[in-house]
Amino acid sequence: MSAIGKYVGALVLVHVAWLLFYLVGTLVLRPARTSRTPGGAAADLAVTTACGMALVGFATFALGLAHLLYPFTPVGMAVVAALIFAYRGDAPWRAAFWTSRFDAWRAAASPGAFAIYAFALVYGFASARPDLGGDTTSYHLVYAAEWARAHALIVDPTLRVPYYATNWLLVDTWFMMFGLTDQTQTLSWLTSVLSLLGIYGFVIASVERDGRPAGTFALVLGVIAAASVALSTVFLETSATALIDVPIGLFFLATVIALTHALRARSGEQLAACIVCAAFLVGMKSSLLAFYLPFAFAVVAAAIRLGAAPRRIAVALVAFTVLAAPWYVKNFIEAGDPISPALNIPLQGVDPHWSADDFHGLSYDLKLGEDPSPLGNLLVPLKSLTEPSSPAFRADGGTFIVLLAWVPAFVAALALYRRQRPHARDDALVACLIAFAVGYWMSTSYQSRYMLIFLAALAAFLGMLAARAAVRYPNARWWAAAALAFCAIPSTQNQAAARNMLAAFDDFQANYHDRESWMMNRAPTYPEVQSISDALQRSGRTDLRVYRAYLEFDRLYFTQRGVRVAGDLFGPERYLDFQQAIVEDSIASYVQRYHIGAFLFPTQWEGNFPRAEQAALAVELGALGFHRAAVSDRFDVYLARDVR
Amino acid sequence: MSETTDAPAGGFCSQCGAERLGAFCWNCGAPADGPARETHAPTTAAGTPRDPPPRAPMAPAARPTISLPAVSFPTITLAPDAALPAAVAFAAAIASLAFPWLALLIGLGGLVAVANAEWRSRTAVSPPPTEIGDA
Repeated sequence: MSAIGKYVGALVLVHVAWLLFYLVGTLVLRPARTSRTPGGAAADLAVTTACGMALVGFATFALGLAHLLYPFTPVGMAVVAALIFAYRGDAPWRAAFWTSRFDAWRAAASPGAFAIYAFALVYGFASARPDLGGDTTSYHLVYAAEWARAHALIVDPTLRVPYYATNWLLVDTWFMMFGLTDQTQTLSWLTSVLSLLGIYGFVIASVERDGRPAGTFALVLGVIAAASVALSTVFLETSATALIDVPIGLFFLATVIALTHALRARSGEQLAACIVCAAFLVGMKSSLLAFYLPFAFAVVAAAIRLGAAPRRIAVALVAFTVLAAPWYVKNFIEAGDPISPALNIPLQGVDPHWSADDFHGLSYDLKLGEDPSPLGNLLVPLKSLTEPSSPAFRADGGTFIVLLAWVPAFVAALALYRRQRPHARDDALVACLIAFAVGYWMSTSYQSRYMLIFLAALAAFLGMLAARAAVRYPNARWWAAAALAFCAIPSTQNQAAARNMLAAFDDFQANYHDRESWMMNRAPTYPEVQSISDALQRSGRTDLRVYRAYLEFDRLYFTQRGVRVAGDLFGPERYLDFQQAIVEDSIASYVQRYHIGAFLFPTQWEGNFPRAEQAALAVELGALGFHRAAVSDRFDVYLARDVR
Repeated sequence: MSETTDAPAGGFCSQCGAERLGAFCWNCGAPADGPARETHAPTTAAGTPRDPPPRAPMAPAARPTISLPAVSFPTITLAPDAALPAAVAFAAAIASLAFPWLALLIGLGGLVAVANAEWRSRTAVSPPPTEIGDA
């Protein structure tokens, strides 16, 4: 299949998934009550789809605990959803069910929305390229692959972070179930499209009043606000991978949109959508537990504002807590720490998986290469544009919007001063959430792709301010547009990144013929993975693990072949301990402890381990009955005696 | 910047259709409910004059149909009681970048303050019934 054909196939699949997520999402946001103006409808479309993704994720967690993750399970989920719709008087077998939803989509159609979608179709092409190795193949997608194979939420103790919060991968699991590995990237792309449509819709909806559509100028502002994110190569590159940063950004944006619209329209359904999206976000990554309290106060404040009775406020808070908690409760039961090892190490000094050195090493790595002094912090947004590829940021570039990351804190502080005014409190709620997200980014890591958590919401917020200013001061509206356009200016480093992306497009289109040959030719160790997996399966020894040194990126490929592995930068089977074991001639203990049937490591290993010691390792493995398999010159493969 | 009214913003003027910000239309001066006013100097409930609108009213028909956009920056004057908070807020916002814990504090502390303010205003006046309140 050609590259274009592969992309079109992925698009068809993901659009079907989009429709299904949207339908599930209408359990929360009923289309009859959503907006029919272009801006409001586009924003509601994004929020409703995000709600659907979240509900699917929550259901998958429950089904995974019950060992019910099978290919036919979605059919059962669809039947249950249909019954709930019918119970609520909105049965799918009635025409009104479909016409109301079709109307909601049609209302979201506007020239700006189509322009954004068309642009997304172009950059989405990169999402069809198979991932040749990265964080996704070393651990993110490995969770989903493990669950899909085991039909349950199992925990492999040799995973990099076995006790983590991984909501988004629950959604990916259904793709992995059907062998649609690359299509998880196109699913990420879908979340990027929803983010851009959400920004666009939110900006326009901020000046739509009483069901009247905003003028053309607001549509232009919506497009510019979306462009301030869409022209950032950090966003574009991450959208084409199965990394969870763009989905996280969507759920933060959806929370902000639903919260704002709940207050503006005095809608309990929008507040429910806010709760669903916020709770899902809290469970998307362990460090996002930090957002539990801000979201909880936002939900409570909004519920009070809507005039909810105290009992209803309590129900909203409990619902948010219960939906946000599953991973943390599970991890607490299994590892004694809801965010293992972040509490275990400081409080207990020990963790089932991580050592203190691992923990401190990762903490150091997250803030690598940047001066954490106040002045250094102050320059971080600017440096993320001028030195994007430095160890601190590890990206290609961004847009100027990051220079205005202080604006939400400013609006929050100002609105708090005026908090006796209800509308100032509305602004303060959203501004406080975004300010908190900016602080979270700078407190945890400076990496550019981690700022994607707030980038879409920041663009929507700044766009809202610009749109309001344009309405308030009509003669100065071009100033508002210019200020917003400043946010969309790409940094100069984007030019090189854009050229690289286009070159990658050309390469993919010209040279991709089928996935297997593409992977065999381009993915490091992929031929070795296939060879080792074949040997283990031929010998009937799939119970044995493969130890890989400095090659954690190939974990997904082994998992998909049903082969368990060991060896990582962190954890009990860490590489440094492996090297120490070689020096001490104690590889035998590794073989016994991890039940190892094969070893794989780079031949050119001088950087970490002297060639003389490699020879010592070869002798030691020979003494243990391992023999060397000739697969390639780049990697050494040793197989156990009974593996041929 | 100073606000000329405490009334909630939003809506459209029933007289000329322009965006109504606050209790009076910026374009023709009509109040939220009632006929157009002769003057563009709305008064407070106590009868004292309010700040005038920032520019002279412009009738919709007077706008040119085809022309380059009129670009002019509005005169925004900071009332003495707003200048200090704005300056403090600006300083706090910049400082929140230098000290990320301050951004976390503004975020979380602000949300607590808003929830508290909502609760206080709820206990002060009865809110109108809403969908969630009635459900």
